[in-house]
Amino acid sequence: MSFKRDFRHDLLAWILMCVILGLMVALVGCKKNEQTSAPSRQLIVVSYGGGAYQGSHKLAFCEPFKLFTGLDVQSTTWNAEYGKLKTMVSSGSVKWDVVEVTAAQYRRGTDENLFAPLTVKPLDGQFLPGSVRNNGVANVYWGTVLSYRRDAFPAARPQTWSDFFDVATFPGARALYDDPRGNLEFALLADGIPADKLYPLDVDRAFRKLDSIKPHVRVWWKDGTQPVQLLLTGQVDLSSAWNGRIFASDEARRKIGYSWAGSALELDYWVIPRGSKNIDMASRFIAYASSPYALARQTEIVGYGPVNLTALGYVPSQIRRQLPTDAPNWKSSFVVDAEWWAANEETIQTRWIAWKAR
Amino acid sequence: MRISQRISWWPTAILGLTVLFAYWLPTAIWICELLSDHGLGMPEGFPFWYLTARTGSYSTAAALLAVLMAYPFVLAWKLFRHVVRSGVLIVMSAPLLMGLLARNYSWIGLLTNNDSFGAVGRAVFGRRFLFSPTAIVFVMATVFVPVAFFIVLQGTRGILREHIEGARTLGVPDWKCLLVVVFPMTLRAGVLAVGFIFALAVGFFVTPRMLGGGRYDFLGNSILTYVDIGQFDKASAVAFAFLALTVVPAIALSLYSLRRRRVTAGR
Repeated sequence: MSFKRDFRHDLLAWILMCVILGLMVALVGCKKNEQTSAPSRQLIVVSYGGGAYQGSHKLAFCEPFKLFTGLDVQSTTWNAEYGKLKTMVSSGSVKWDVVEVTAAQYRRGTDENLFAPLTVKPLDGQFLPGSVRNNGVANVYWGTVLSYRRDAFPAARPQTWSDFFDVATFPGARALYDDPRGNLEFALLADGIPADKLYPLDVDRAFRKLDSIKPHVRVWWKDGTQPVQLLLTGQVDLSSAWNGRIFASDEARRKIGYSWAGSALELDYWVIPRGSKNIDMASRFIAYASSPYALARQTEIVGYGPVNLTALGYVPSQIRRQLPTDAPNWKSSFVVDAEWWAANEETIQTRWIAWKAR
Repeated sequence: MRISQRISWWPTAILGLTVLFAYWLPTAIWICELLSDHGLGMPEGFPFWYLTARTGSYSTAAALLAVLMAYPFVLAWKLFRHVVRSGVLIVMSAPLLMGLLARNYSWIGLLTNNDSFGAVGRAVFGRRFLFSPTAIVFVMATVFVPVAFFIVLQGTRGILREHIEGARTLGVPDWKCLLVVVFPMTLRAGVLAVGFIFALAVGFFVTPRMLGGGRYDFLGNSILTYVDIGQFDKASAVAFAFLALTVVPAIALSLYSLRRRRVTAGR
């Protein structure tokens, strides 16, 4: 068989091979381009949770910053999957410029050297102590509250986590966040532990208490929009929910009641993943997002408590009363101990997965 | 001249080497690095067998249901022409396209929205349907019906239209045609479809999560959660254990099937 004839017969194989090689070259080229390129004109901002919360970031931070700088500011979302961020940084393939992480993740990530130092720090306004760090800036306090359908409980309404666990007095399907953080604390509060004695958590006792509510939990929610939808559509009667998600919707405020008693307050941080190509602009974005007026705008949209206290001066009093940082709400709540969770999260998450799977 | 003789060895060899060096080798190195960095430890107290059984049983149920649901469409395809065939094609293709857009959310919307569609959905499926194992199996089955349809349809090539027309002339109703003509002659394709869909279904994690409300998660959900929280060793261990559990019987089955085919072919 001649070479020419072989070549003709194998044309398809050749084309296929060329396509594969072409793709490989293009891939390598892109990778090289990524690694050596100058700062891009695009800034990717990642919010923890989508829906109304991401909407508040877009309106209050991203769009004005885009207007001021001319940068293409893209807003996206994640569910605070620490492994994803860690893999991104350790593999050197960092696509994100500004990421919102939980306080526990901030501590863990700082220890594991995942975050780049800020080149510009926010100065405008009066911040709560410890909010502005070398590798990140705290932004808002948000609360996980006990929420319920108003029409399901027209008379006596559930107000505490003991009520949530009391399925005889307050019957109905429940929903809880699919994460041990917060749920263990709620279980211990329901079991009689005072809020100021929660930490260090008695994990065994918390899981024992959670055993009693597990059959009544219809949905373990993963996304902040879920509990509001579940309550509005009558799929569940009681749920834990992020206060801002109820605040952000007129219908939710009308139909869903919630209680600040024993609510879990958490702090989020803006950070820049190490390896970002836009560290300077990302720092400037964080400084802008921490400024009083921008934070006040966000607060009006989503109802979370800014750590820059000067922002509260721009917020109407009727909104201030609904914030986690308002004095009566703050006193009824507890702040999740980020140090404790940073040290114990891996172990407890492992136990949580096994517990929930059974 | 046989095709294998016409294709010379070297373009194939280059292609093979390209795949070997550009994909398999880097992947193997990456996995080895991952294992050397994080080890390979099955999480303590993890109910592996329980989750494997759940994943396997739900996937099997979804695969069987998908194939059963595909059969009437296959029959319609064989019995009718033109308009009906176009209709069947649309019905089979639309879920594939819809699946790319809103596979699970469409079901959740259908069953929860406070509108007339929601009311109809709840009336048809019941209020307790959502967030139940039935919902997981049913929705997965609907996703896989088109896959089953096209595989089973390939198996009907041996069925001549004259067979069915003959049966009809003798007064056999269409449903009986399905049972006595189409079903036996496509059994092999049906089994193949069940196997193929099962292999796809065990890897599902979004549908069990969304339609099961987080209460009936598959093994894949646990693996994903371990990855999400940065415990790569545990994710790897669970994945490797599951791979070993499924790949070894799959290879044994394939070898057995190949051997049986050779025997039946008279070699």
